[in-house]
Amino acid sequence: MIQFIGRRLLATVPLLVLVSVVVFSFVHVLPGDPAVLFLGEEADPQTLARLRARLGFDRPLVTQYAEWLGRALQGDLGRSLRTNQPVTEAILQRLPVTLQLLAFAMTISLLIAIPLGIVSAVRRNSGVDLASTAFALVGFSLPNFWLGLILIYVFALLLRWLPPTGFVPPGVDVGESVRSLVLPSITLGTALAALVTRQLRSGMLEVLRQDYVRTAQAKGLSQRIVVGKHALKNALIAVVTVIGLQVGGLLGNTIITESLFALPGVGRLMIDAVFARDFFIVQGVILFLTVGYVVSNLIVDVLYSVLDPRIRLR
Amino acid sequence: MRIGHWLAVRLALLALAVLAAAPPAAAQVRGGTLRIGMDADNTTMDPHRSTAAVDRQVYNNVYGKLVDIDARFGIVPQLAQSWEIRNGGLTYVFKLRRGVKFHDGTDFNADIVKWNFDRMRDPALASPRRSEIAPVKEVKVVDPFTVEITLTAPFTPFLSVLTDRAGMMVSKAAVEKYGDDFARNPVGTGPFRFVEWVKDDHLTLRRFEGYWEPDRPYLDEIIYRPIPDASVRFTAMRTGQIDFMHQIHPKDVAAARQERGLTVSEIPSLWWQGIHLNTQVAPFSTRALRQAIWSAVDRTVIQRVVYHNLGAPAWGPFPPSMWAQDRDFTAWRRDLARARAKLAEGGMPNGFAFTIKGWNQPTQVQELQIIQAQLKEIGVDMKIELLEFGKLLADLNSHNFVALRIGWSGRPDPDGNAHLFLHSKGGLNRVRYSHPKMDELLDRARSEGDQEKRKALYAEVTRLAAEDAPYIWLHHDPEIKVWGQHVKGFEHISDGMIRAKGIWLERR
Repeated sequence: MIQFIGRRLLATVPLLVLVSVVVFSFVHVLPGDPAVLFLGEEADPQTLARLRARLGFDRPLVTQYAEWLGRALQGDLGRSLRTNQPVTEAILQRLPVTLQLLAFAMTISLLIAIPLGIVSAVRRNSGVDLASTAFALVGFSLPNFWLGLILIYVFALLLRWLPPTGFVPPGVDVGESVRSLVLPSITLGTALAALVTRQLRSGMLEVLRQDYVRTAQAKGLSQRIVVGKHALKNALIAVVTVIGLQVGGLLGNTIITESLFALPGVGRLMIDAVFARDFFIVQGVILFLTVGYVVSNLIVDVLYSVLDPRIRLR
Repeated sequence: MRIGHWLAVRLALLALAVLAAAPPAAAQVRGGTLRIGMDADNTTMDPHRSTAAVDRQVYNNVYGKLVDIDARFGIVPQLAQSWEIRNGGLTYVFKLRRGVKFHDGTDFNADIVKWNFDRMRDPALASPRRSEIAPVKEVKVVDPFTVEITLTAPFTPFLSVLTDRAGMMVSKAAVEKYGDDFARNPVGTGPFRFVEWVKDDHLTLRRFEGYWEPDRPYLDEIIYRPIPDASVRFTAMRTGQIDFMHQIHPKDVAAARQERGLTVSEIPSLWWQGIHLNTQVAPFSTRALRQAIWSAVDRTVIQRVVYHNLGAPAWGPFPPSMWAQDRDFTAWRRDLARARAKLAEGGMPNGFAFTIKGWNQPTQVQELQIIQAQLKEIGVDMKIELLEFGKLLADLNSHNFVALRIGWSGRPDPDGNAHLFLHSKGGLNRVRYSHPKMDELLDRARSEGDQEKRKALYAEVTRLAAEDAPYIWLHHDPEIKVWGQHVKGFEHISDGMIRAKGIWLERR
């Protein structure tokens, strides 16, 4: 197992190099000169040229890339062009917010999806099944910025149950921290909940038709044990795959969710940096997210072997 | 312009009503935290490196400036107690306030002023302030509290330039200590000192106990919170998460006025919104075709639909807030007959097609679609190409456009709304418009010291610009602030700055 994880991590190195090349060139071919964005529209050409030189943007791209990569390998992702803050510091400062948001969104979506998926498979074509299908369809189709706005309108403005914006670190007040993340987590997690519900339902339906389930039922095992122990575990493999694949999508959606709810997370750091052409921040965040995605896929692979011992990690 | 005039009167009355509603000065209370909801986060805390308009909000409370403006655009003392203009506008002698300290305990004096100017002018810093203070030839320390600044040519807007970031004095000791990290460790002489900045979450300032003005400020603390979505920001205001709101969406203004416990103040801003027409490429190298567009666009519809009747339609670069606006200028209204005649004169009687570049942002898109429909009436087919802001700026700067829609935040002195765009050597004249008469008018207005004479010159500028139509001015944005009724003592000025030293909170 450890050998497998080690090999997989090693295999990500070429991937990361490739990603860094793509990201670096992508960021630099983006139209829009950072020097102009920094100095404003009135800047004279000499001042613009000086700023480009100071930032190192006047040298060949290959040189710039080599230097950046050399430093990145030593853990130095550069500094923000605007605030001079080290990129790693900026990311680490915001990471807890995003991780907490992701964890909450994931938890909420599983708390909704797993019971709903099981019940709608077991009670196929019942009222619950119909309701869960409707939820899945609507939940998956709703654009999440719109869902967020509606949630803010209902729960923050009309009912005044939850705060509309902001993040309270758990170290300051655990209760307030949870309250501050409820609406953003539902906004972020609804689409995932919908997808997992559907996936689990069809997975369960398939498993429930299998011979071993019939055997278990014939042995006189209770429905709870048949469904909960024998069927669910096998149906979960597909669910884990879906979740693993969706982590990337969730990470992308944090940009919208964090901006809407004014949360100081990694997604917001990224989008602000893109608009400001704060190159080192953009590069750093993308690299970081790539690593996160690779790691989450690795976790999924490991989970497979736990769920189904027939799958060997090699 | 009759409608513009009426609006200006209405806005002035509104402003008066707001001022009249302020309670007597005796009731001021010390203490409390003011939470301000902003549309964007600060980009840097170094005023000599800032280009984002939003940065100035925090700076105005952290940094002292040599001079400031009042509600009527008069220049008032701040770190300079008095000044004298000599040699026909070539020399400015500033008498500095004594006993002023920076937040780090160092002294403010003439050497510091000179050092600040040297810093802004240092090519190595690549400061955006450098072009703003380009007319400065020499800064001389006369005695510890007297500074003499000599200009290369008379430049009447000079003092007005110093009311913004170019006049903000930063601590030399702090810059030497922090270097580039000064951008996150600001030290000024303002009424509030910097405490912390968690980017995209909050920026906190606390009362500076050593502030030179006795008994000011009243507040203990200010917390700025960037909430990018306008309607969410308004919800935060309505639910009491914030006490004060910067930038409200025009569609929410009516609701804000209905809401109990909120104060809404609307005054004219310094902004203009408009279309740049590239005068060097077809079709708009032909003046008559520019004039056709000028006459075919109905600004009042845009005013009503896009801006919900807020602000004012624009017929030139000077908003109703400025003394330079010619209130009698009524020559231009939507005139389809003239537009068609101008099309024929320009050799395109059946209309033509062109592409306009614009920022992909909802209100601007809506505005462009209205213009598109209006131009269709004279057979002109305007195609809309939407771009991200950085790309739009890049295309503007490289003259890569036939028509381009973008706004200008404006400057307190009218020179800053016109010279840059209309003078053949103007720094933002991306349409490459050139007219000797225009250059002469703008140069004279820039060096003229008498406001009445300048006003007459700017009236001519407005008319000539309307006749030549290198820009189709569309709208002057309103300057709107919303705050809770427990917030007192805010003076609303057209520059939109939240100067917090006079603000206090009523106990609830």
